[in-house]
Amino acid sequence: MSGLVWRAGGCHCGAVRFEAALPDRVEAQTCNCSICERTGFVHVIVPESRFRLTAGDERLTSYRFNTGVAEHLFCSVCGIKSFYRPRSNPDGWSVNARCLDDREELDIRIGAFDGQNWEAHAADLAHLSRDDAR
Amino acid sequence: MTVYEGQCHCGAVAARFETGLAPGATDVRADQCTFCRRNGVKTISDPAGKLVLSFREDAVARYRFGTRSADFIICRACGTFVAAIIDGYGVLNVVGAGIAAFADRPARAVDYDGETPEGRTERRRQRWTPLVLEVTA
Repeated sequence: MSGLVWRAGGCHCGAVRFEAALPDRVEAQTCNCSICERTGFVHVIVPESRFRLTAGDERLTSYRFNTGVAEHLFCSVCGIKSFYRPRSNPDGWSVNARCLDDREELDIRIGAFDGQNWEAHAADLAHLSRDDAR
Repeated sequence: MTVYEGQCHCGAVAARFETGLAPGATDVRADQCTFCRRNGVKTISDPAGKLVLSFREDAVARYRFGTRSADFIICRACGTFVAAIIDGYGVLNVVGAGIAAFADRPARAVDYDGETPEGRTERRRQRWTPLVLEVTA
């Protein structure tokens, strides 16, 4: 965990809160798939060990479609999807850079993931949920 | 008038936007408020057009915050934010409704912090789109 800082974030109404252990320079992805386009989700994918839900488990609504592997989770009060279980990294989590409290302090480098051609590109993300990932 | 149709991701909330404005001549806005920034929202409106929203009342969450003067219509099943509405008027989130003709256009950042409650209502009545709600029980 050296070089990582636990950063808090959450939904809009405050019911759902999470923390993710992140480096100062964060690799993030936009995605052009049907669901990510509708929420503007900016993915910061972390291993299981670098994510913790700190409040609001009972307020989360689950949504699945297509293969059903990804579990999309959003606040039932304000609708904000602050993190979810991604299909590309079902052994980790993807937190939404838009929902990090300290997003202005972090150096967030945003790349574009081609989710419309998911099968051709998903392997490029697999390393991000391994424990040695940065 | 051209009709643009959209919906939330699961289809439970439908939006129809009728406008004489071409997408390239439309003021696509990116509100910088705490809610819209989390959702990557881009909005459009046309005082001379019409916005029709269709949904079952129990299929949506009506979220209110800040001055609590508008209902933010969110699909309970898929979480998509489709539109914000007041009595008689609405503003459409073209990102949430998946209307690419507008959503793919660059947006102008706008910030309405500092408005008085009266000024906010007046701006919405002048700039938002006349609204038709087709809500079923």
